[in-house]
Amino acid sequence: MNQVLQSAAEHVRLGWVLGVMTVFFFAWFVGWTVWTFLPRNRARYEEAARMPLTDGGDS
Amino acid sequence: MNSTLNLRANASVYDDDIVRKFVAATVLWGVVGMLLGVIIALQLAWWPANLGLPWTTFGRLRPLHTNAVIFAFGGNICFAGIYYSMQRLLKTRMYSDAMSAFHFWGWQLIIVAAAVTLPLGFTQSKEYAELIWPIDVAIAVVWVVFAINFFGTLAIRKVRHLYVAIWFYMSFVITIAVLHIVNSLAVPVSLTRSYPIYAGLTDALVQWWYGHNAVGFFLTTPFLGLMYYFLPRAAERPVYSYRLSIVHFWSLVFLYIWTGPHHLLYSALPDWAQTLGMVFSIMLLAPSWGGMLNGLLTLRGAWDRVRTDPVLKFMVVAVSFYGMSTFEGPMLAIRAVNGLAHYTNWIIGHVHSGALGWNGMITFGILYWLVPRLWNRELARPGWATTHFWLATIGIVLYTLSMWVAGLTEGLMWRAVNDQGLLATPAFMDIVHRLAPYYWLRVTGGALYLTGALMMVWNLLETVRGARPQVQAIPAPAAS
Amino acid sequence: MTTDTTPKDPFHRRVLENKAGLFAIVTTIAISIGGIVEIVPMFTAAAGPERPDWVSPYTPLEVAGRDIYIREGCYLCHSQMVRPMRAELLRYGEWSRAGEYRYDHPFLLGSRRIGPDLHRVGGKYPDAWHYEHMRDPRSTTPGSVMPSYRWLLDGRIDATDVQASVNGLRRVGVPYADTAFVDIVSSLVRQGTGIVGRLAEAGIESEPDREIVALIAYLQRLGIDGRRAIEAGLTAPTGSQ
Repeated sequence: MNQVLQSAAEHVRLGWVLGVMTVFFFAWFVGWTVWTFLPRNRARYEEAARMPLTDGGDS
Repeated sequence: MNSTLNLRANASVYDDDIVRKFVAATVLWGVVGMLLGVIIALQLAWWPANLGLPWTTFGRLRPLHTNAVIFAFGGNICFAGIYYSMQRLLKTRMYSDAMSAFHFWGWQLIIVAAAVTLPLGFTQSKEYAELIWPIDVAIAVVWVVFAINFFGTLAIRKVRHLYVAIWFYMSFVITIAVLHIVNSLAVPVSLTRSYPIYAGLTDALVQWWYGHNAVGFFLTTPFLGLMYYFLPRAAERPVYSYRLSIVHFWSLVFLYIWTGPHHLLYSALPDWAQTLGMVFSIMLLAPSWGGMLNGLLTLRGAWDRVRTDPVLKFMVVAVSFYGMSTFEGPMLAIRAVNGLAHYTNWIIGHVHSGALGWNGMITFGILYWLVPRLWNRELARPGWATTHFWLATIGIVLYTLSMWVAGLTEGLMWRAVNDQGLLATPAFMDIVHRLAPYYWLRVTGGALYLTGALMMVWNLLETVRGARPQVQAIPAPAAS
Repeated sequence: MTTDTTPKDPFHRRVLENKAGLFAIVTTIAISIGGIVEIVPMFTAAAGPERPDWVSPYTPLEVAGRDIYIREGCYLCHSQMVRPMRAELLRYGEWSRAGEYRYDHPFLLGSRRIGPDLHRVGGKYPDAWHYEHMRDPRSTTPGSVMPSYRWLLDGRIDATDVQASVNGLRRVGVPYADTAFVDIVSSLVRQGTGIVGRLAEAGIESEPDREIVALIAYLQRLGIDGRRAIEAGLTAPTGSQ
């Protein structure tokens, strides 16, 4: 295969890899975000958010 | 574990002594680093300030300035804040007092070694990784000890859930180790010289993968961790959205690492790598602003206190500058914008809106909050703290505006082509001359910022003079 | 605050956020992916920068000069990367090809142009110009903000150090054929004498082992191989840009 064709083939392959990766990571991100914001987790996280304020204060 | 090794002098109280040490080091190196910054700024405005000596030229002092502010000033406040907050969040003394002490003295020794070797011209030339290989080895050793102490503390913690600040600290501990080791791989030729195993553009890519993530994981993630702890404490209210902080953490650490190639746009680095660097830099805007909004919204309902409390003043401006520079960064990573801004003073202005605005201001806020608590004293001169705040803010504005205009000026003049298709300003010196007023304005801004910092030093010294710090007992964790 | 977890807790809370070790592993994976995807391909021939055979390693004197360039932090004010833009081609010359940096350990692309780019500076000025410019930048370039580098006029390079440098570069992959001490010395003397001769023609007295001579040798070499190859059409047609 000549050099130009070979580099074109590499670009196409790379495009696929990048495309699949993007979709995969984006799906992961959306899933993670939705899960984090599920109503059933709300109380736990509000409790966790208070941790710095309940650390045996020194003030 | 602690009984067999007997590592801790008194496991029932917090180790605040180590925090006080790191706080003192922060203040000392902060002033040194800022002073060096003003000196090298002056050298560009007025070349005789190079003093005609090899070890005082711009080329040798600039690395000393960057290393001092990033690793000495920034590093020490991160360590101070981490040692203070993680003990309290986890309801335990640090895993090992000896390791804490080794970490402290080792780190200060590394800084002193840098301050000696860099002016002598001993350098590896990679930005923010200039230190010669024996110092690199020392950094790795100290960092490993810090990591063991860090994870050891997590192992003996009395609280199950790891508060989000700890996540940010953890990404700092892990990532800096990875970056430092991979970027520093070199073959020594003498005690002071070595050559990296990578060549050319591969070396450049590895370096900017390191360099940009030194910004990401030394000047961003640990400082965000500090924000997530100290801002709620100072504001006396929980963070606006803990759930946003979770999403923002994972997005930030995943995206940041890809952005390095934006330092090599328009180079002969393969196009796909340049494009990845640009695209990920733009995406990074989202988690960065997630963090900024989370910080600012934490203060909802407390804005009246911002008007009176210098600590909150510093923190609000810090978070705002974080938002501004993380907006500017992705813009600068767009190829076309970068084509204009790369190599210019605009980049220097951008870096300083982050360093002076975000890192510096949040550090001052934490210091004004922490020092009175660590030494059991009221702040000696609250009024001076407010003056410091205004000097610093005006200083940053002068700095960033002058560099922005200077950067646009040189960027546009370098590329201007006339009707005949020739350079409009063929003599490079004609462009250099144009920058002189902006260089002077920058010196002024930097000097104001330094003046404010010196006022803080005096204020804090007066606060702690003759103080007798008390030990604080570790309370039992609340029952579930 | 809960001090323990129960099986009722959600998975990530039970396993991830409460288990520091696992959390650390997941974080390590998250921060590694980007670096691996970007850096690893640079080491494979297909995706990496072109590997040309038209660049030759720096001579021992040029290596010594490059070490001085690094020591003085020249790269902090001068870039070595001409971008493929019209104005840059007019101002500096041909844009920088990847292959030209093949033997650059470390790379010296720079990140600021307080002064002009130097990647095509080789052959642009006579040796005597560089000598005068280092002695007093304002003598050749009125208004320059560059410090004077007088100490380079008197400083001497040490052949043993140069040999160590060449050996070090050979260990990281630069193909030096012979690094015997006598060959290093004769190469240093040959190239240094040539520069001293050209300086003498301009009425400047120097010696072959002066630091300034080594630095001039390095500066005059910059961009030369690449320019010759481009003129001869030797660079890859597709390149990597």
